[in-house]
Amino acid sequence: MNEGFKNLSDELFWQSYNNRVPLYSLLEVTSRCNFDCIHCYIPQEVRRKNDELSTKEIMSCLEEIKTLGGLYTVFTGGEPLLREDIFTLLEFAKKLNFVVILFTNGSLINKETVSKIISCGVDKVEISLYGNKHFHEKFVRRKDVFSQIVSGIKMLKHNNIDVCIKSVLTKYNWNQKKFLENFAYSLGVRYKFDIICTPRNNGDIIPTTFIVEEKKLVKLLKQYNLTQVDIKKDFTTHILCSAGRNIVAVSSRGEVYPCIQFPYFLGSIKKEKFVKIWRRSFSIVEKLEETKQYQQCLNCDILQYCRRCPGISFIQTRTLYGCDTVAKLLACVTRKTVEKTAV
Amino acid sequence: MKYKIKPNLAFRKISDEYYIVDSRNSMLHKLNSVGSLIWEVLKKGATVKEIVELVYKEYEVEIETLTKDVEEFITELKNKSLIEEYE
Repeated sequence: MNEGFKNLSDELFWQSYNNRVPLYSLLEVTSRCNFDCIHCYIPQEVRRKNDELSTKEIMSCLEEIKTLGGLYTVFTGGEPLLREDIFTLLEFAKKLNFVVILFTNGSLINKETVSKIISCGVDKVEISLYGNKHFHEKFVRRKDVFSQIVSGIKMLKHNNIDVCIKSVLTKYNWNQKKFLENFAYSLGVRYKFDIICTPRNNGDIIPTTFIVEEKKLVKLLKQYNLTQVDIKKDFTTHILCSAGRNIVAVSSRGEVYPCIQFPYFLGSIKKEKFVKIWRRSFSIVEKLEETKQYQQCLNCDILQYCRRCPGISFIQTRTLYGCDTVAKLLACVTRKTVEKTAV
Repeated sequence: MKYKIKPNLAFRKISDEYYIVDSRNSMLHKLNSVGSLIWEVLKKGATVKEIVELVYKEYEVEIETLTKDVEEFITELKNKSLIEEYE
């Protein structure tokens, strides 16, 4: 192992970051969904369109991502299991020696789908769950789906598939955190959560108003020791993430983005080869790394607490260098928490 | 005896070295340049003799030492469940 890396995963991350390898790809294979989650980043009007990529287009894209060194690929949606060819695609990705991860709402998992997931060789399944039956069904705005999801998780676990339950915790389901942790533990699967509610891709900021109240955030930040200030030596790595460097996303319509939460259009695989789009898009990385452009951030007194997301900032301001108000809110709470702890 | 890479492993060559992900145990492995050369051959399957011949073409080292090193490497890959025997 080279010196300077914490471990092999860290080395792989930086090798791909420095050589601009799309190590992590996320394919939004459909925008269709049988749920209507309150916080979904895909706007309603897009969710109804059925102009998604063909089997062949997705396969070609995967082949090209492979040639560029892509190793991890996520199949997401919408609800990916709504695609009739989903198992053909998963199997194809596995044959190309990707680590294949499936994000699903779990409602379509039954004996038959579990058997197909196993035979395709899917490496990991991540299922969204937002609380107990009452809370979950209220959150996803569908009735009588909870027991089917739980049954699916049990079947996957029983068949030794790596399963993870995940949630976005908002002010509406905050009180479900303990239930979700205990529930995942009782099923023998991992649990993870996020507190960031991102705007919808059309700029609709309603989901950002779902973020949990300040008092609860402070408690959470203390509990998970998130109060520690994490100032990186280099401004660019502090203010940016690796979107567009070793992360790439392809929307259900073939649009290539630096990240699925960063809808800056790099090109369309319906019109050009992915490789060509990826190589040309280095200019976005160069633009993002123009430090002097971040005057608003540089002059902000909470910069050192801020974990700004370039994607959220872009959706909110339609510029590359604007303020991510969700991160700013969290940064303010972090600063208060740190200052109180210090006293 | 031939050896080949176990199915379901994920791997990619980055900067001339292979990174291998074994999701069954969440392990990440890395091969050096000689190991990566051998991994290329193992994709299709090969005997120790075939591997030795290939490496010898690239690195002219003493055959006896090379054979011993390749055997050790194959044993290591087998112990880590990254390859399997066939034929």
